[in-house]
Amino acid sequence: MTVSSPVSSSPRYAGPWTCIAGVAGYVAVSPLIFRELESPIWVVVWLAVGAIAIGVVAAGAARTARAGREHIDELHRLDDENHNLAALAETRYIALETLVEHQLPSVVNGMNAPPLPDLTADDVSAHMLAAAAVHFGRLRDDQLARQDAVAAAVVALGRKVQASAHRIQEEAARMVQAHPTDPDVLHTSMRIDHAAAQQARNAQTLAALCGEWPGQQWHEPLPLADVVRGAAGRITAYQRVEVSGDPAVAVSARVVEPLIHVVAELLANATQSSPPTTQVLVTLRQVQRGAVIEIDDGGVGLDDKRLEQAREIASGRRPVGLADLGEIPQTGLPVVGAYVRRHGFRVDVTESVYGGLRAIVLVPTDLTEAVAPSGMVAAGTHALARRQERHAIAPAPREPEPEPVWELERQSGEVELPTEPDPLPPLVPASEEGELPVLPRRRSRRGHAVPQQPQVDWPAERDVEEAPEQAGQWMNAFLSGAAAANGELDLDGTEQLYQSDKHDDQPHGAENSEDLR
Amino acid sequence: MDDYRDSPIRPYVLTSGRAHPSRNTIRPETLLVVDPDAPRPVSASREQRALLDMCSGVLSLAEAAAHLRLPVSLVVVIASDLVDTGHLSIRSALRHSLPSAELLEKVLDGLRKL
Repeated sequence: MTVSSPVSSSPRYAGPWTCIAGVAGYVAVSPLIFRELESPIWVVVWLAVGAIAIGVVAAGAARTARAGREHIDELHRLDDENHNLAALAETRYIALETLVEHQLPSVVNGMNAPPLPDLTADDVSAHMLAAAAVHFGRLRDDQLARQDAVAAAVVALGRKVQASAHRIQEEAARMVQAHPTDPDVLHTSMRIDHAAAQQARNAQTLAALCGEWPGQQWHEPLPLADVVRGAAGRITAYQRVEVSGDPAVAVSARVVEPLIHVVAELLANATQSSPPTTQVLVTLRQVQRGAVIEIDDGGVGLDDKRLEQAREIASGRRPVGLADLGEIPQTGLPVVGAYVRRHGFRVDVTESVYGGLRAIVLVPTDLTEAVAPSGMVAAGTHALARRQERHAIAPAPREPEPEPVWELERQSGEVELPTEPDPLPPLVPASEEGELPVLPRRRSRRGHAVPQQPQVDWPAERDVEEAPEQAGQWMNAFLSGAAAANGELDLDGTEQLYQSDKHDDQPHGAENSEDLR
Repeated sequence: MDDYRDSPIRPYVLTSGRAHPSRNTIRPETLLVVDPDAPRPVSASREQRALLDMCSGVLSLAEAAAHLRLPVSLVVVIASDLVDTGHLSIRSALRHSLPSAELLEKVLDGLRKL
């Protein structure tokens, strides 16, 4: 106990000292009294004085003892009070610390405020802190609302820009269609298309970083190699992309666009971070768990720390929003991460064996579909298919339309009809025929051939399109036949063929006829 | 022209940006036929393979383009490359054996009757 009260110490100790001095004097004087004074009266008086003195001393001592106890109690009380004050100070310090060190920063960063500490010891602090928390919460809500508004605005603007870019692409394509024989027009169209494609990608990146903006929609699965080619078309240096491998695997329609965008961003990174003279190598392969796209660049790579950062962002483990991009925005990997989180791809970035970086994209099996194993025409034309109704990857739609002669036989019932279109009909069924009784009716792939359907009365399973090679075979056969019969090749065949194209009210047919005039 | 359909693969990717064919003899009406003796190109693109498959008979370039759903002028570039490599040949003799005017008139009459 270190508490002292110097002011009260001298009066408090004066009493005892006086008593001790009196008692000592009494004891010292007593022998003299008892030896010199014979009269018992004086002895009695002296003893009485002694008894009184003892009583006084005892009373004094009792009082002192009581005062001492009170003093100790007072000290205890003060000590407790001191403790309480220290605890209060500590609580308020904690409250202040929580406020300044944790809650304010989290509010500033737009995150959830951490929970309040247990401040039951101090009602005032608890009350103040709760009030502050209410303010912070309101502030944060405001902040979030504003962020949402900004994000929504950015998404909307991104959509607008992207839509206008696609409109430019469309106009460029129409320009080429209108001038089908002019390479200069094609060249200009390509340049416009390319520029617009990059604009569309940038707009899509912006929108994708701010919200759920899927971008373009494709309605058919796309072979893996075409995904990469589609992605390459969206970057500046598409000519540096070199694809190897063409596994018979396609990507499900709903993830075609996200995957194209992811690959485009990775390709853009790869081309930007490697010398312009080097190729960016893309390797495609099919693995047990899906399909893999590996992108290697010949740059210098990244140091360990930045590589780790890149991995965190690209794999989607660390979300990066628009606000985190900074002054020189690196949008590539953040948008890859965003798509990875949404669509379930797996993306990793490692060191490449070529010295630069290798980005690996795994498309899980449930997002892939098989391509017709033989590939070739089926896969090839499907890759280019644009019609929504078609199922690009299924082998069926590409089945060649049987020869009209064969068709007549079918309709007359002389030939047993297969229940399904024969996947490999005779390639030159009409080669023996000197002439063709019926012109082949080509069904439009663009869905405009419906009016023809009733006239022809195709069997139901004939909802397939004529394969181009079938038409070619027919043409060949016709020409050969004509040559054999007339000794010369005749243009009639071509003319008739083109007339048939005209029947076939598809725009390309019309275009062909025009070109041939 | 409402037949425009967007494609994920842009035309310039198919020819690495080349718009001018390596030869100027191919017209939309040019008939193409694959050279049966030439082996298939090893590193052919999907469109090249498709074009070769189509032209296993005789097919005009415009028709091939329609089947490929690609612009005619672009297919000219692709076809020119294949002609250069010897995989495709042009069957152009037809240009010089035009049908007689009489036949054409008959055809015209026939068409008018339709």
